[in-house]
Amino acid sequence: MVDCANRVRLDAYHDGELSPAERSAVEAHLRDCPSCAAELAAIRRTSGAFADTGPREPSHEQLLELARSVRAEPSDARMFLRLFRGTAVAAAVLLACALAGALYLSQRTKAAAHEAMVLDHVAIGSQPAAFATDPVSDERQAEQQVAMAQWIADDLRGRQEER
Amino acid sequence: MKLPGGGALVGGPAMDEEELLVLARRGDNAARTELVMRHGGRLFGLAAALLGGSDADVNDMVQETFLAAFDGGLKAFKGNASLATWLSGVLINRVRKLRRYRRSRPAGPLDAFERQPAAGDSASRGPATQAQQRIDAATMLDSLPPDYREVIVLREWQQMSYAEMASVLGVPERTAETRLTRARRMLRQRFGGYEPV
Repeated sequence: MVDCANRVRLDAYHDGELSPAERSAVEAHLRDCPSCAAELAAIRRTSGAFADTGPREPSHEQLLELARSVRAEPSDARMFLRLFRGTAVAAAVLLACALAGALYLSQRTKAAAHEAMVLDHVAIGSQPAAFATDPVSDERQAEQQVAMAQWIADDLRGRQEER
Repeated sequence: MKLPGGGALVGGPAMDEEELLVLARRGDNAARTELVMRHGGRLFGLAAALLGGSDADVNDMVQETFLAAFDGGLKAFKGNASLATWLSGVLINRVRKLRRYRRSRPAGPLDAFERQPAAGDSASRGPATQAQQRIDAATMLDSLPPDYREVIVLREWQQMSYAEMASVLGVPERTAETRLTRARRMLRQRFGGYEPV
């Protein structure tokens, strides 16, 4: 650690980062400050430890391999991919719309059929055609009809008694 | 020069690098190869020095850097810094991400320095001395925290100015200078007796 109280930019001086005026000022200071002069010598030694060595460089073949690994897709392939992606997106949207429409229509048809069946059943008292072949439903329908008839009869009787 | 895939080099050394990058982003493979041949070696060395890890990691980092520059969302290069500085910044960000990802794992030895001689070694030095000095440099780098390791590598091996270091690291210039001063001081405290042979 340098003992000098002045905050001299010795590293910047060593690295050639000072303006000519700053450089002159540091050089003037170094002439009178053995502590900073010793610090600068230590900086030079440390920096010198890296001066004659360096990181490993790749071989020419390694660079060519690297170049191969970052190649763009061939333009034809890119065009095909772009076209394929565009078509796929459009097809997906159309399919989704078609499915939604089909689902909507199907639900509307079911609701309409159900409504017609109920109206038909209530108005005429007949067995809905859709249930005609189902014995379980037939029994249930018959029970409901009997219960309904019983309730109507009771209701009429009650009203007559009130009169 | 014959390029992989049979292409030819785009332009000469004087060709504007920004223009080359535009071509590379459009999928021009000759431009991509040219940029890799111009900057790949330096980026490879930078990644090896920063990571101190396996060749696979180094290759991955350099490849990711070029792919991000060519295919990724990196459109920030406007020519205010040199392409070399900008690519170094991209690589350093990727190395930092990798380091965060592997924070629990200690850095490995700088085998990249120990296995092969560095290009440009002085012919006057004997092989044993060269190897010793590489190991010394590797040991010194390994002793530093990542922030300090970065500034030493950028200054001593990439010969970057303080302004370039600040740009690459995304910090003010005086911060880069302070880090460098502290990193050198730390090395002096730990390897005080070291003298380059």
